[in-house]
Amino acid sequence: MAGNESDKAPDESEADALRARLEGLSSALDARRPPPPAESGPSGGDRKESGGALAAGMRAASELVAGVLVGGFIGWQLDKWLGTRPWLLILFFGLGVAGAFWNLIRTALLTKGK
Amino acid sequence: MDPIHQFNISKLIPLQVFGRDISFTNSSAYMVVAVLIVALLMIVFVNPRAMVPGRLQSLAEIIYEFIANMVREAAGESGMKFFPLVFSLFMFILICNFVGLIPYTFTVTSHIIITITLALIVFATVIIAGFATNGLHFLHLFVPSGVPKAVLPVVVAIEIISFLSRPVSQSIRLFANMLAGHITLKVFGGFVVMLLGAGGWAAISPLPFLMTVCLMALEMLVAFLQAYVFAILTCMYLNDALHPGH
Repeated sequence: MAGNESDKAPDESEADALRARLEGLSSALDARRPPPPAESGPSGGDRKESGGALAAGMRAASELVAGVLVGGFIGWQLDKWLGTRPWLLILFFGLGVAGAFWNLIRTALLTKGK
Repeated sequence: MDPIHQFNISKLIPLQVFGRDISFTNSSAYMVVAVLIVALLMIVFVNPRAMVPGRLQSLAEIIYEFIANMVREAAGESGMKFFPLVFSLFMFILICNFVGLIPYTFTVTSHIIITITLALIVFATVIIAGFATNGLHFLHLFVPSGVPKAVLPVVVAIEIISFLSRPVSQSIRLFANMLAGHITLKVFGGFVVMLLGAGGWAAISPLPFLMTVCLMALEMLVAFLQAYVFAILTCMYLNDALHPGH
């Protein structure tokens, strides 16, 4: 579109410019890479804007369910094994609930702290 | 019309080895499809290695950068040695979820046996990596510092239960979301058909149809989010294994 007199030269210089730009960009990227971990810590980035709340909610719900299930299962199996029905089930169910909430609190603190 | 019918496992090639049923099922077939799609995307489309990537190559590069940044942020630079694991898990779950959204296909990740297997791979990796990099110091994960001696046994028990609940929560979340989403889609789709076949009631059949369209959009978000959450939790668990005692 510029003109006919420089048919080939722009092509090459364009490629060179592009290459130089790419190198500049990747070095700029490398330079920027270290800071984020130092600033935001080891919790998720800010890239989860849109679905972040939905994801966090689903995480919380499944963590609650899983803690209770695992605690209850351990108690149930120990009861079967030791013949102490139903005391260990009650104990480990409680521990499972506590573990689930402990997980939730930890996740919430991590999210707030970043 | 049965909303559960879509989750049926059917044997395509029956196989018996040492009395065990290892038939090639429709689930296996869709796993192969997912792996082929991932391979197509990550190997074939990237093959030109163009300086200025085309659309599909830049898609592959964007996904790579996305996961690489996620691993770096959540598990630190030393977590990058687990990048292949995280990336494979993410891609497999993502593609399985998206393939499952196409009508008449099978959703691999809607079966808990698949998701618990994936979660147990992560669980085993975390334990092995934890002991390999930190030795017995890895057990400090279960003993938080600054806890009075009197309540220490209770706290340790809670920590162990919460550690054991990780694969359960990871697998339940993925499978339950896919199962529930697909059942909801099917039920609302069924409403459209039922209303269309009910004479005058056909007039309101666009309503559930609209709902299905909206749910489809939501399911696309969920399909991505579930893969993302699975991957980021894998990174966080690996972070615990590599740097215990925070």
